[in-house]
Order: sequence, then structure tokens, then C-alpha cells
Amino acid sequence: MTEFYLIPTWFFGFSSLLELFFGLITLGVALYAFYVNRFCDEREIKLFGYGFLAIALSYFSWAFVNWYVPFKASIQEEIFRFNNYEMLVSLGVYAHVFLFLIGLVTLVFLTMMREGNRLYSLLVILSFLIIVFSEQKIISFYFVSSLLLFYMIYHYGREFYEEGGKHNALMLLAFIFLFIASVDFTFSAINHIHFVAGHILFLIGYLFILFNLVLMVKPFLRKQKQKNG
Amino acid sequence: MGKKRSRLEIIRDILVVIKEKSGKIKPTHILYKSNLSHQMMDEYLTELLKKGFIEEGEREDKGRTYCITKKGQMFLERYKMIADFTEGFGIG
Repeated sequence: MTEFYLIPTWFFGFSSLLELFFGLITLGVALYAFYVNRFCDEREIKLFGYGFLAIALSYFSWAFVNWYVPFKASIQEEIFRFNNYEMLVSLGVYAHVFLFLIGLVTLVFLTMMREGNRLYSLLVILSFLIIVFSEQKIISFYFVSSLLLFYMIYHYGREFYEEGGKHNALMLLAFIFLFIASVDFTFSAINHIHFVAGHILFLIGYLFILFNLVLMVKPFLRKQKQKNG
Repeated sequence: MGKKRSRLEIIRDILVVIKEKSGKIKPTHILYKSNLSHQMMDEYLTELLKKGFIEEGEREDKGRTYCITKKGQMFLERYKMIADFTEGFGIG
């Protein structure tokens, strides 16, 4: 039986809410990307939107699992051993793994500024092969995610070094926190505290992304408001 | 030396040139105004035609002409939002 996570039972409701919140932030970024793309029809913006949409769906799937487990199971211990005890739970966790990796690979591929699908398919296949052939699938998933997030840090680090600016700084900070969170989650099958700490670190990371999005949308909304009245 | 123009900036420059000429312009004029090589300009024009930002005018004796479409005008109107997005998320 594969052990997914160790979760303190008091954290179940909070974790679902946080995952839902991460899903809403990333969905917001995706929808705004699709809106902007309506006017420019740019491949990069469309891919960026799909990347964030996959991440949003992955969080909704995870939120569902963490809502469903305490709803269905009678949990008496203080720490819940989250393993594949039920088909639906396994499906939810693997949907989260699959969609999150697809989203991250899409974003990393985008930062490489390459045309064509060969590199993209190679990245996807390699990422999944590592997980499929691993005994500890969740640990491998967070290991691969950390690696991909590290590439995102490199991308935004270089952008910030070359261009500066608050937007690049915010995205760099966001991905640093997401990276640390992902590394922390690698240990979530060992000690339950990593599951809580990982969520808090993810929250900080996604708040930076949300702040960046708000900074972008605000002048546009102000302009629209002036136009309308 | 100035900063290298991004793809979106080049697209905007081409569309502005076409729009300034009352929406009808010959390729040679675009070439002169947009500061691109002939090959690059052809690639951009093909892309803009594909995206529906410009359309080829009726062939006259003097050759091809291009005019900006409604979609192209929308791009210009929303250019700042698009540029803010790509810059803000470090893409493109």
C-alpha cells in the first residue's frame, strides 16, 4: 500500500479551503491570460493560460480529496495515514499529480521559448516516467515538481537580474516559496508537520502571484470604470 | 543603443504604420517605416494575415496593399494590457 501523506486530522478542513484558494488564484491567472489572448492570439499567452488552468484543476481535485476523506471516513487517530485505501481518493490524488505536473511542465517549456512539440513531449514523458517507475510516487512527484520549480526560479531570477521591476520580483519570490513548499512536501509521508508547513509556504507563494495579478488588473479596471462613467 | 524590440512591439509598430496610412499601405512603405529586413517583414505580415489583424487589399496596378482589420484595431487598443501581462508574468 502506498503511503501518500501523514495529515493531522485537525488540518483537514483548513487544507481543503487552502487548496480551493490556490485553485481560485491560479484559475484567475488562467482566465486573465485567456482574456488577454483574445486580443493578441499569442501562443505563449495561450500556453501560459493552459499551464495555470491545469494547476488550478489539480488543486480542485486535491481539495475534493481532502474534503471527501474526513466526510467519508471515521478518523479517530490524531494523525491520518493518507494512503490509497479507496479508489476515488487514489484517483483524486493522481489527478492532482498529473495536472500539476502538466501545468508546471507547460510553464517551464514556455520559459525556454522553443517552438515545436518535441521538447514539450520529452519533458512530459520524462516527468511521468520518473513517477511511474518509482516506489514512493508522492516523494518522486514532489522531487520532480521541485526541479521544475527550480527552473522557474532560474527564469524569473534572470528576468529580475536583467530587467528588474516589481512584477519580476514578485514572481521570483512566489516561485521561491513554491519551491520550498514542494521540497517540504517531499517529507510529508514521513512527518505530518510537513503537510501543514507545505500548505502555509504554498499559501505565501500564491499570495505573491495574486498580488502580481491584482497589480496588473487594477489599472485596467480603473480605465474601464472611467470609460463607463 | 536602444533595447531590442519584442515581437509584440514589432507587431504594434507594423499595425500603427498601416493605421496611420488610413488603413491602406504598400509593403515597401511598411518595410521603410517598421525598420525590418525584407524576410522578417514578410514573416510578420504572413502572421498578421493568419491572425486576421490585417487583410490584403484588392490588387492594384502598383502591387499589393494591406489594410488593418477590426481585430487589428482591437489589438492596438488593448496593447498596453497585453504588454503589461507579458511583462508582468515574464513571458514572450
